Amino acid sequence: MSTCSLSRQTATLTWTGQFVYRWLATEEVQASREHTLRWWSRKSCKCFFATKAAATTTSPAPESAEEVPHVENNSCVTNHVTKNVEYIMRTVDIEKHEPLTLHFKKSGQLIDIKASHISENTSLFLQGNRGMYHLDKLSSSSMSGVFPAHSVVKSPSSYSLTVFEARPDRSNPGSNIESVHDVEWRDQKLEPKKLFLYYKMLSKARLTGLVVITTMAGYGISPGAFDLSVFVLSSLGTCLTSCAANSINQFFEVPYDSQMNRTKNRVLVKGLLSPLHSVGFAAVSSISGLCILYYGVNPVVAGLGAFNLGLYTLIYTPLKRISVINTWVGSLVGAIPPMMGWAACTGGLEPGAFLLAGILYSWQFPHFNALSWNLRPDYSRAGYRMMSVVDPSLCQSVALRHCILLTGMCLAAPLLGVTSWMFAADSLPLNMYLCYLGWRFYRKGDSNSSRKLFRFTLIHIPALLLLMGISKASFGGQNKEDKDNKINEEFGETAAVAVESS
Amino acid sequence: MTSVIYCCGFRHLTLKTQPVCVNFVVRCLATERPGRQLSKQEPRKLKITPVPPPSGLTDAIGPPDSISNIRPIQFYVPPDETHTEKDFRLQRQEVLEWNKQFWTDHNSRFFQEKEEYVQAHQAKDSEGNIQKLSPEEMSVFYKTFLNKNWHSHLNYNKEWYKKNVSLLWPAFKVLIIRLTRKMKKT
Repeated sequence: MSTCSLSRQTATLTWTGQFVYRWLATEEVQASREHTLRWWSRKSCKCFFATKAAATTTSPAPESAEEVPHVENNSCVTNHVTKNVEYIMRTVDIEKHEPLTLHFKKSGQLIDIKASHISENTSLFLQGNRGMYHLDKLSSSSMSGVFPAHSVVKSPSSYSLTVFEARPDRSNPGSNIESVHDVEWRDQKLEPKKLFLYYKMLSKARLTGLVVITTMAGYGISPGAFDLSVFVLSSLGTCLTSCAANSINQFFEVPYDSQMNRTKNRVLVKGLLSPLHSVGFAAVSSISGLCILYYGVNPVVAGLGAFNLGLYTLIYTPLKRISVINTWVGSLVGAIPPMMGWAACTGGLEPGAFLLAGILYSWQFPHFNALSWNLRPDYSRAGYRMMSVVDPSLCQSVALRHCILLTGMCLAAPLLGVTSWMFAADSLPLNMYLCYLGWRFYRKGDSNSSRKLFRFTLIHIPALLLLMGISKASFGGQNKEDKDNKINEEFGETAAVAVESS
Repeated sequence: MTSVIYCCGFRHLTLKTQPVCVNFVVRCLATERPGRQLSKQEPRKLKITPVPPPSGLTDAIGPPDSISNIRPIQFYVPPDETHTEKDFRLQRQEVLEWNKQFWTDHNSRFFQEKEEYVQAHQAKDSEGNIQKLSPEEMSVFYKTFLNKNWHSHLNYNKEWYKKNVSLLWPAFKVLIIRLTRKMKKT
């Protein structure tokens, strides 16, 4: 916070826009820092110097500032205290030639302008630190209300801007302005050129990608013979079904998504697509996806796909607001895609399919519980009954429990004849590290440990599936072995890409 | 660092009072990439739209409300608006208002109660400085708030689902109407 860069300003004061930000903290803080603070009352447009602070700030007349000792203004202070607004005092240099852009709310214009032309009642948005600053008048004029009558500031040449910076509470997306696009109006016209991008956003490309990868892994790991066309069709069908599920999910969640910074830029929230459009997209992709699965692969896979689609959109999505068990249901949703891959290959659901599903199911807990840990304020305000909010200790212990369960299942894989014993050995370090991070999250439960756990889960699952693919027990038809190896390599590449992108 | 400034109202204080500002450049920010969208001959001079574009021929969507986070929509009324279109427009408006109302109440309650909680639980260290509440301490509040509002969330969710789905069929009808209108024109 500071006043440190102020010494540099003397020469360049004119029009360069030395911005002084202030901090007006709560009463206690203010009392303890009496010597460095100034108070500013927006209502009365007056600046109150707590003490000598002004001497260090910009200012046309530092000496006169010193003459103003301690102006008490309790009403002003309490006013701010109730709002719990904090202000920061520091300076920022803005280059002379750097254009500022004025945004006039009423007339709707954006105008490039020099700092010198700024008048009162303007706000400043700095892209560098994403701050929104409310400008006071040019200090030369605002100071006049502050200084005693005999020390009127005379030289208008020494302009500086006093900037009033409220420390924003960024948790509410509406007041978290990140770019000028967050304050402008936009015509709701469909832009055909961007349609593909919108569809990609609507189907949550990354999530869908992960789902497809787990399906491909399920296919690759299953003992059946490898058939490229079935492999491609099952991946495509799963992909389309997942796209449909995600767009229906977004259709139902518009007001909820609006409430959180994480989701506020979704297409439906921003009105880039209409709700009808998203439902239409979902209908087309779900029907085509399920048809591909039914006719191109087999009815078991199509059935699983339809079941999962229903489970996700009709049960999981509303359950988020109803009960804490939503995480378990959500994990079930995540566990089905590898089963679909498996069933696409073998035509049935052998124990191996359930083992694979179990691994994915257990993986969801450390993954999601760690993710939701740092989103507790948002979930609470948006009304999501997530485990991390409703029962934090359960959230931690469930995550740890499933880390251990996951390790156990990986060790059991050779027993069920899914993989060779090599998998049990080489997955162990991965799982042990996951358990360690899970244990740390359990013991500490801070944002750091949860973040670490979450990040590791992102690497963990593709790596685990890759290991599983490499050391699968039987390679179907023997003459297909070469092909299989190739596919495994291909899958390895995809997984690597997925890890990078996440 | 690029800086963008915008005015918090008080039109009378804008450019007209500043004679020096004749040489300003009015820049277009209505489109996301102005450089790409505008041809070279066209001057980069357009209005951006912090208020709904008045001559718009489509609905316009605004920035999220600072409390409710719900984006306002200014509905376009076509000159030859049919009954179905009007009903649909009014229904959407009503749903939007209802959403805004709920989230305004809900969020202001959230922030107020959070504030009260913070005030009540804030501790001071030996020097009298305020200690920020840890996420663990705050999580108690988040939990209570969530539990306290369970019924209201549930009711809202039910209502929202109904309203959201009931808008689909009229939306489809309006889409057909607008498409046929377009076809006739061309």
